[in-house]
Amino acid sequence: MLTVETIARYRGRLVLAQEGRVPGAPRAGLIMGGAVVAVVMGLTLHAGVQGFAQSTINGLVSGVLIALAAIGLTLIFGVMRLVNFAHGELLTIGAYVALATKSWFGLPLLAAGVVAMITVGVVGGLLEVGLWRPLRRKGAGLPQLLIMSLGLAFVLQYSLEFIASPRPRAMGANMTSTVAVAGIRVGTTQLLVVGVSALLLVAFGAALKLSPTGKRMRALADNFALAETTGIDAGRVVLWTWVVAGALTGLAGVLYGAAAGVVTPTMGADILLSLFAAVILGGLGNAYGAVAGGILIGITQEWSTLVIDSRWKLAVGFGVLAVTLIFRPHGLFGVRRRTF
Amino acid sequence: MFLIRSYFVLVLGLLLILALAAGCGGSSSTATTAAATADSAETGATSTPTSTPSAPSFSLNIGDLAPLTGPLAGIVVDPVKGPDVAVDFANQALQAANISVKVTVEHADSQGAAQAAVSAARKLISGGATVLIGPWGSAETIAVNEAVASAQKVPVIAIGSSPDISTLPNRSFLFRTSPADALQSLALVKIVETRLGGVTGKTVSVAGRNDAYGSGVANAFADAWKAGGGNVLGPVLYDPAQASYDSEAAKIVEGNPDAFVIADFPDPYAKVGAALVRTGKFDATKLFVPDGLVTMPTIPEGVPTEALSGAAGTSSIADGPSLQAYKTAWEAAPGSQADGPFSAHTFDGTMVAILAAVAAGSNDPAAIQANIIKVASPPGKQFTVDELGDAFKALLAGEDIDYQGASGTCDMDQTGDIQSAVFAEYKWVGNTSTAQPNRISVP
Repeated sequence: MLTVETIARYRGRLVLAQEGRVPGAPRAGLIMGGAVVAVVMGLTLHAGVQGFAQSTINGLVSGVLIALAAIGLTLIFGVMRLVNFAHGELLTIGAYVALATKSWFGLPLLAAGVVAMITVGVVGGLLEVGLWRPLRRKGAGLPQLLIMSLGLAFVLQYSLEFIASPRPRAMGANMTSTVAVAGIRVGTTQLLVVGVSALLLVAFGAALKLSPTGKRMRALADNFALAETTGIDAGRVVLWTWVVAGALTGLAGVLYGAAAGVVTPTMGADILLSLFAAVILGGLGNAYGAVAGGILIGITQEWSTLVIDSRWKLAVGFGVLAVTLIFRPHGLFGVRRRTF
Repeated sequence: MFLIRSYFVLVLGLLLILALAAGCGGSSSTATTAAATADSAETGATSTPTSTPSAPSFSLNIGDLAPLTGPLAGIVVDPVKGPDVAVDFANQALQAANISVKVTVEHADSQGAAQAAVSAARKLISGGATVLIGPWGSAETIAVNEAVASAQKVPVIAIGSSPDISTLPNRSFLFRTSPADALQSLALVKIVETRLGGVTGKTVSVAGRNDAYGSGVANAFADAWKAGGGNVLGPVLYDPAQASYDSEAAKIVEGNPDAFVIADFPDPYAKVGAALVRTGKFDATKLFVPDGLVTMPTIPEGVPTEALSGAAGTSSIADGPSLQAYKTAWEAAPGSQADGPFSAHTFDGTMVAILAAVAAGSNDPAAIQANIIKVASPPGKQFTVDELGDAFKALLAGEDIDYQGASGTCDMDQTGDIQSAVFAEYKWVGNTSTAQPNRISVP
């Protein structure tokens, strides 16, 4: 009988076989490492140690938030091959649920965040049971599902705008107090949010690596058909993936909103492109890659403001994505896939 | 099992339809007016050539592009009420003067977004509108001019105030009742100059959202300040849809400037302002802002008090000869009692459109376009809205008129822009924004 462990072992060989070791790979790594060192030195010379450190911290803050928000997107893609354009709205719903819980019941932001996490997890599960699963069973292909998710994004966004009004709402966290170490300043709320996010990322990474459900998710992400033939109940794991991705994304929305200070019904849609960039940079479907991709994009964007007009920082982020994909078409941690 | 699944799909579908219906609730009423006005536009077109110029009989359908949702929705007050009040006012005057011209207005949501404004404009025109009021945002105004006004030859009387609009090519069908921000930047220069005791040698850090409004005001201010002999840092222009602005804030406060000028809306200034306070080098009493951050009565939700309290700003103020009549009509009409920023300008835009149509004796877009500057600007006999009936009669008698509006005299130059404007100085004291008694006339 095939156990999860056998699948994991098989998966390891499969990955190695698919990766097809390139003889020049170590040299490419050296060149990349050298380039990063050169950029860091150049920027430090240009902006001074403090300026450089400050922008690195700023980049880490936004990078960790992008990373946390991007995991759900990459999980859904990994397991279902669904490019979920409605992912941004799951973030927004999370933030607004926390906002409502906080103002109606007077709960502290963190407790409201837990409520939001559960709510969006349930929303994710309901979407799978009520929308995606029936669509797949009726034979809807990826293009139909993709357009469906795009439509769903608009419906959710405008419904929120209708219910909550389009004006910006304050999350109520303290936005002005800062912590300063050696002249480098970080907002207290930002620091807390990044701390919580980092803990979540580690906990989630461990769960994905060690828990049976996490293993099944990864097995499905690697090769859906193969994993299914080994006895994994795909329907069940897909449902769990939606619940987990929803919960994580809901909480990410709360944390994102808390760090930004205000939320609007378009907040999720506004950052969706950055999330896609992180996911693709890290390798589609790879949760660890999405985290690395998010942090990389956050840091590059903030570094770029040291030398280029800050209004172009988004373009710089996507430029890095384009250049990386030229050298590594499957992303930093992606593997070549036979079926796509 | 199959039944259960179908049930789920059904429930979800119904929910989606409900959500859609709720989201589009505002436009359902316009659908019927659209059908009605399409008919009347047709009768208008057939009757115009046969009727004599002295007794025109037609229906005029005005399309109104209002920011009901999107980033501007947070700072405007009842944006459809200005055109509504103007149309009611004009219909009464037309009836009293026994002129068989019937005016209707149809509203559409421009969403504060260029593409949405263009589709809304097209929808209004296909519904029978032959002149448009709005949109309010600068980016939308530019897009509507390009894709609708100049392409379909339908006159648009817009509110978007970016200086970039003044120099647009192909703008013979675009007019504005709001003063261009080049004028507002001059007013800002005046209040900063008064506070700093001169321009020469003083350093101002300039910043703004990277769109037609923010970059328009920021660049116009920077140019005017430099021309006066002052120093400018920046402008730091930032993408309005970012989550955090700490790097931008660090750049804005760099170099210890004497004053800050920031052109933004509450979204995303809530985030930018918070980041500025976090730098520890920001002082809101040195901050000067254009209308996007002063026209609201109290500090908008989410903006830290330290980021705005103590700041000064400018906003175009309605002080036209028709102001009192407009205010009385506004208060008598249903909807918001408080008059919002630029409502008087949409009221005037609507009035000018109606006067131009009466002057043209038809609802034909090109004929209206040819008469807009004529009825709004000198030469000609001056009429306020109180004398609207007489103004209509004068137009039918073939006389030239000069409309005296609620927002100002509405005198346009040859490009269709307002020539001069009066601004009020605003101050954020504690949590509230108050207009100061002094008025700044520019140029």
